[in-house]
This record gives sequence, C-alpha cells and structure tokens, in this order.
Amino acid sequence: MNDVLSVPKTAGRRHLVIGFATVLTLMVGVTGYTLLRLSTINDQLSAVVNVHNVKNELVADLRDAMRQRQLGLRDMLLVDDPFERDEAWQRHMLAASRFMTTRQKLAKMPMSDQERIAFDAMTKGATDGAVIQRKLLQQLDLDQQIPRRALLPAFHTALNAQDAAFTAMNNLSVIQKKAAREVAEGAQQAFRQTMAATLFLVMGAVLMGGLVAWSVLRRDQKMRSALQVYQNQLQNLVQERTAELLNANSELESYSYSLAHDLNAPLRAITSYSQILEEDAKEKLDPGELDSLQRITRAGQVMNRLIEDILKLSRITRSGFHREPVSLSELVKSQATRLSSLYTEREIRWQIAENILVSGDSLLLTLLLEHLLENAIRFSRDKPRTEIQFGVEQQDGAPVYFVKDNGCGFDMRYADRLFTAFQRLHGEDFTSGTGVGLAMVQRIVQRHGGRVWAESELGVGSVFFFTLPESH
Amino acid sequence: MSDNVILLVEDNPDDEALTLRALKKNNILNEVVVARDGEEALDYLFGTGKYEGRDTSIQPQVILLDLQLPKLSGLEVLKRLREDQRTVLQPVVILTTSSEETDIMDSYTHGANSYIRKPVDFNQFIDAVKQLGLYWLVLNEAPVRRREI
Repeated sequence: MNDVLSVPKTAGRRHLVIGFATVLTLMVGVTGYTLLRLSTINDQLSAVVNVHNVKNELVADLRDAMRQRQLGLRDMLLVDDPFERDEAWQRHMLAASRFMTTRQKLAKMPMSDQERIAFDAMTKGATDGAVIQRKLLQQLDLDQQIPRRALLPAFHTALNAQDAAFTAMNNLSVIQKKAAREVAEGAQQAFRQTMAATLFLVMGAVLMGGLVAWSVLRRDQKMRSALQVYQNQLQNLVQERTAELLNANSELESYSYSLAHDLNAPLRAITSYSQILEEDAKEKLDPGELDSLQRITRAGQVMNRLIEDILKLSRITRSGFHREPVSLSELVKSQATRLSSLYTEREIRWQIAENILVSGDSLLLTLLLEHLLENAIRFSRDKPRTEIQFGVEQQDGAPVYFVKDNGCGFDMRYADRLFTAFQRLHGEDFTSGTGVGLAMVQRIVQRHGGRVWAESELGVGSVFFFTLPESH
Repeated sequence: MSDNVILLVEDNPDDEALTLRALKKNNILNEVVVARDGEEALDYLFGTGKYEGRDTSIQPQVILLDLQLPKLSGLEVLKRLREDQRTVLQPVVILTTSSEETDIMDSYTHGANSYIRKPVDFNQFIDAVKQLGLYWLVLNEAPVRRREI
C-alpha cells in the first residue's frame, strides 16, 4: 500500500522543486538586474557630479581672475606711488594669464549646446573687455604723463563689456545647475523605475511561485484522490476475488470430501461382497475364476487407499492452524520408535540432531515427519541396513531442515513431479503408496509458509529439505 | 433374549447385510433391530410411530449408530437420546465411514461411548465387529436401568 502511495509523493515533490527553482531563478535574475541598473545610475550620477564640480570651480576661478584683472587695472589708475602702481600692473597681468589658462581648461570640458552658447558669450565679453583694457594700457605706456582720471571712462567701458562676461558666467552656472538637477532628477526617476520594476518582478515571482506550488499541490491532491479511488477499487476487487476464491476452494473441498465419503459405501460393498463370495463359493470356483474375484478385492482395496489419501489431503487444507513451539527432534524420535516397531524385520540406524526447535502446528508437523521418515524407510528396503538422518543446516542465513536416507533415490529429472498428488516415480508394488504422501508434505510446509525440495542420486539415497519460517 | 437387543441404525442395505453377517460370523446371536433412519431409531427407543406401544423400559444393550442418515442425522439422534431420561445412559457406538476429526469430536461431545470406522476390507470389518461384540455385549457392565414407575 505504501509503495503505491509513494509514487505521486515523489512526483509532487519533483514538481515543487521545479517550481521553487523557477522562482529562485527569477529572484536571482531580478536582483542581478536591479544591482546592474543601480550601479549604472550611480556611475552616471557620480560622473555628472564630478564634471559639474570641476566646471563650477573653473567658472568661479574665471570670475575671480576677471575680478582681479579689473581691480589691478583700477589700482593702476588710482594709485600714485609708482611702486604700488607697478605691483597693480603685475596683479592685472597675472590675473589675465590665469583667466586665459582657466578659460582654456573650461573649453575642454564637455558642455551642452546651451552651455556652449553661454561660454561663447562669456568669451566674447571677456575678449571685448580685454581689448579695451589693452588699448588703455597702451595709452598709458605711450604717454606716461596722461592724467589717469581721463582714462576712467575707457575703464568703465571695459567693465561694462566684462559685465556681459559675468552675466554669461552666471548663465553658465545656472545652466549647469539646471543640467545637474535634470540629471539628478533623471537618476532619481530611473531609481524609482528600477525599484518599481524590481517590486513588480518580485511580486510576479512570488505570485508565480505560489501559482506553481498551488498547481503542484492541486495536481498532487488530484493524483492522491485518484489513487485512493483506484486503491479502494483494487482492495474491493481483491476482497471480492479472495472471497470468491475461498468460497470456490471450500466448495471444492467439501465436494471432494463428500465424494470420497459417498464412494466409500459402494466400495465397501464391492470389496466385502467379493470377499464373501470368495469365501462362500471357494469350492465351486476354478483357479481362474478365483483369481478374477481376488483381483476385484485387491482393486477395491487400492481404491480405498486412494480415497483415504484424498481425504487426508483435503483435511490438511481444511484443518485449523495452531502455531506453538515444537521440538522437531522429539517428534522425529517418537516417529523413529514407532516406525522401528512397525518395521521390525529391517535394520534401521537413526541419526537425529538434538534440540531442533521450531514454531508451527504440532499435528501437521507430526504428519509431515511421519511421511518423510516412512518414505525414507520404504525406499531403502533394498539396502541391508537403512540409515536415516535428521538434521538442520544454515542456507542463506535461514535454517533448512532435512531428512536423509540411503535408499534407492530417484532421477533428478523428475524432481519437480515429486510433490504432485498421485504422481509416483516408482511402480505400485514397490512403494505401495498412492503418491499422496509428498503432496501432503508440501501442503503442510506451505501452510507454514515454507518451501520443500529434494536432492537425490540413484542408488545412493535422497535428501528432503524443508524450511519453516519463524513467522508466517 | 429381548433384554439383549442390538439396535443397528443403518440406511445402506449393503452395510446392513455386512454388519449382520459380521455379527453372525462372530457368533453374536443377539436379536438385531434395524432402523433405516434416525426417526425410526427414535420411534423404537421411545415407543412411538411404528413402535407404538413397545415397552420402553426394555432398551437395547448397545446401539450401533451410523452418522450419515436420512431425515435425522446420527448426531441428532444421539443428542435426543442424551436429552431423554430413558436413554441418557444407553451405550452408543458410532459405526460410520467418516474419519473426520470434527465428526469424532462431535460424537464424543454429544455423549457417544465409542467411535468405530467401518473398514472397507471385510475381514477387518469382521474383526472390528468381533471386538465390539466382545466389549459391549460381554465385558462391559451396563448401567442399572431406572425403571419407570
């Protein structure tokens, strides 16, 4: 029953495993995708931040440089001390060169179109202012005595031009901030999207896992209930068939029983009346007639034995079975005593192993040994001394009991016919048995759940083996 | 003589003749009353039916009872005998074909005194009847009958 049930269990388990493997794979996929996506966003974001910072610094530097340039020039115009004026000129020139290098650095940075426009506007404003400033400085160089205040209007014109550059720089900052914000917003959105996608996928995976598990369980349930139905049907069928079989068997047994009984009365009449006739008409009959009459009697006696044996055989099957501890050694010993007194004219040597204990029906086992031992004696009657051995040996870890004789033996080719009822391997006069004995032996051993077999060598002897499992 | 009647309950005429012959062979010359079924046997024993008016104080010395009988079976007859005060102690020998353990056990349980299987060989049958006659008609002391008042 368990074997039958275990089949869908493993199938269900396999489905579950497949289902969970699918879910697990999906989860791993989703996690991988999410990590990849997030790291991409991170990279993008840090790149943007880096560029933005550098550009911001550069723009601030540019602003400072231009402011220093303006301050340097203004001091040159306002300060009278020639030493201080020279120092202001140097500041102005340094700031101009710093502006140039920083501007070149910024020009190399990646920029959007808008940034580029603002950058160009800044360059133009700066260049315009620088041109005016350069002219102003040339005038100062040409005419050392020119009143400085007269140059202030040109100075202011340069400031105005540079204001445009400042505005462009502010624009650049604003654009950059905006771009950075856009990138950040994009990254945030991408992050949210990724999160949503991940959540969606996880939910999908869980849902799918659930679905798989549910379908597997449902299928398992279905298979189980279907199997239960089959099993019940099968059980019912087995019960029905067993009942039918038992019925048929017991009918057959009672049939053979009553048949044997009914045959007995007419048989008794045939045998007895031919005996009576023989006695009454002995004088009147010639030897031939007398022989015929005696043949009728003998045939009747043979038939009687057959009927007796059929009854015995059916009785073994019909009788109850009472398991108890039985000493086979003691049973063999008592049979040996009985048989020795029955066959006084024979020299029989018994060799009986001690303390062989089994569990079985003592009446049936007595009958079993009776047959095996009597067989051993009957088939060794041509030997001057009969040797019969009873013992036990281990075969495949289980005890095997045996009865061994030194009789005429039988041809192993017919070994399978030995235990069939009414099959004999010897002529009638030799064994004077009906061929039921070994069939009975087999039935008795089978009722104990055991096995019986024989080995033999013609003219040397036979060994009959049987097993009696401990529990049956 | 009538005090030593043998009641043979046997439906098979062949077996009946064989039994009578076996008795004769053994010089058992008691009167043999034959009942051919269980009912007839009870009629004889209780003085009813065909045996109406028989003196039931006189009962057979031994009853040879077959088990397979028409109408009432041998066991049924035995049961009725043991239920009745007049026949409760009556020696009953079951003389039958059956050697079934259950038949033997049932017979003794219902109060049979002896159980003998009819041998198929006539010589063995004569021998069995000889032993039977010797035991139940000669050696065995029958219980003292309670006479009806």
